[in-house]
Amino acid sequence: MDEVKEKPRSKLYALDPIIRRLPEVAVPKRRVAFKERFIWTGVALIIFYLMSQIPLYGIAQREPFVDTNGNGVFDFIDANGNGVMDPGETALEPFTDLNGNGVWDAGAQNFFGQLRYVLASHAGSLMELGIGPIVTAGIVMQLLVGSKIVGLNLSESEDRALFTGVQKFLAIIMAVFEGSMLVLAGNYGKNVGLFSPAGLLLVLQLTLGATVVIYLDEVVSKYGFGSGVSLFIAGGVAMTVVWEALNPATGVIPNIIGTVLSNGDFIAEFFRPHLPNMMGLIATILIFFIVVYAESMRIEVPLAYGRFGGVRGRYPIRFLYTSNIPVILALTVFANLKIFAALLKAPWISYYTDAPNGLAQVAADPIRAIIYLIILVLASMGFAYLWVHMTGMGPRDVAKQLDESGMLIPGFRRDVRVMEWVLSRYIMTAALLGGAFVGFLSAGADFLGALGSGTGILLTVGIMYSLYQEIAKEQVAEMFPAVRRLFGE
Amino acid sequence: MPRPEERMPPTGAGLIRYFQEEGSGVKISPKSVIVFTAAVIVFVILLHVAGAGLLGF
Repeated sequence: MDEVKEKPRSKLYALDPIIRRLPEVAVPKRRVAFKERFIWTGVALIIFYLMSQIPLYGIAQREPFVDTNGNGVFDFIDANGNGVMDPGETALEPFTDLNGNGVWDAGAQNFFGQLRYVLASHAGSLMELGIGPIVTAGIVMQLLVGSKIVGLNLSESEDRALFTGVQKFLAIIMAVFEGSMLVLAGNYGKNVGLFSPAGLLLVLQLTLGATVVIYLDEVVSKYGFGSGVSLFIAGGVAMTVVWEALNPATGVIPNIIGTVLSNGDFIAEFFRPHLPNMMGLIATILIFFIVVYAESMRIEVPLAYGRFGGVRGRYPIRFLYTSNIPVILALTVFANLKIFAALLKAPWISYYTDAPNGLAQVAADPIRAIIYLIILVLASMGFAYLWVHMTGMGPRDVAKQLDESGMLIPGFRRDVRVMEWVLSRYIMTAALLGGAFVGFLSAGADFLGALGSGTGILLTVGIMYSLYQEIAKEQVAEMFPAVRRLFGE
Repeated sequence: MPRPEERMPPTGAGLIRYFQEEGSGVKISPKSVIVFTAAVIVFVILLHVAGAGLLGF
């Protein structure tokens, strides 16, 4: 009896008075019908698209340009890699030079690069921050819990509820912080001070936009399919892919049809420089199938239930054990390098961490492409290793959890250390190989000029695959109520 | 006896972890999120329409 000790509560409970005042979307009281889930998911996606089209009030005038490839940003050859167009740099899209200075003036800069797709961010709109604040808060929370700094025990219901609450509070703080940083960095015009009325109004708009995203994410994860975060990433990338493939002016398919009808140069359509081309479309489809295949690759470790002889189970270890997180973290570092390079006016810093896009750019400097590939693959492996260890997904943690629920691996002595040894052979191999694989795939997709960027495609296919699985599961449960018991409802 | 799968460790990583726990916050319905969203959109549109006249920037 004296073993029952009151465990120390996490320090995070100090935040409870704030969490208790934060609004929270109520958990559905009954099972949400399939049709209802569909509607909430659709409504969230439509709101997201709508808000990404509403420009922020008070940003410096952005000079109008013709977005020939429909990627939402003004394209130019950024010779010194500082993210803004300088005199002497070549514009790839026609623009209206309002102030006659000979260069295109951006209302908002594009430091994020490829990361924009990952963050579902739309420059200059209410969705400028996209899911950035939520993702940052999510990563911070997992690192805090995984490294045992805050002492939350996620196998306890009360701690799980607190985790979710603190994560939301942190996301709102991150929104204010990220919004202020963008204003401070002169993203909306050099003369907009943070504490000027215009600056404060911008931060307010950015924070409101991000708060909407935070709550929409909550609605989708409770009343819809998947989560808002994955929905918005996939929605943004899917829209870009469809636009780049089908838009009548520069789309891949309308152009290739035009070329065939007029007996033009068919092969040239595969290698159009600076525009989405046929090669990119093929690469997109190719990546789709490779990722779907890789997503389903797993090793199943057989398990037996110690106390009940006959009960057996399996612990599946996915090949993409850390999913595409390593690439996301690597690209985040690369985006920061780019900002540093711009601040220090030293473009060489980020030269080899900037993805060459399309075969034309690879051919122009093959050494750069190879070095980029090597850096991305190594960085992804490193981040996969770190992520496994810092978020409590490592062999030791998994072995401990399995052991605590009374599982053992048949044929091995019942001992946590033995289990850890067996698991580590699979987990660490999967994590490192999976990390290298997603890094390689992301770089390869960019080299071939995949529509919607390599990482964008990688993420979107993974998201759609799991969404498909969830929808299929829900539909079966709806049609055959008896099956619900199998899913444990 | 809890079913074995329920106590399984996660089989894959996610950037964000979702739990279906009821928290301690003030409960709102999903519909009120839509109302809040509409209010934000109307606010920003009004800024574009009348902001320059009222605020002078």
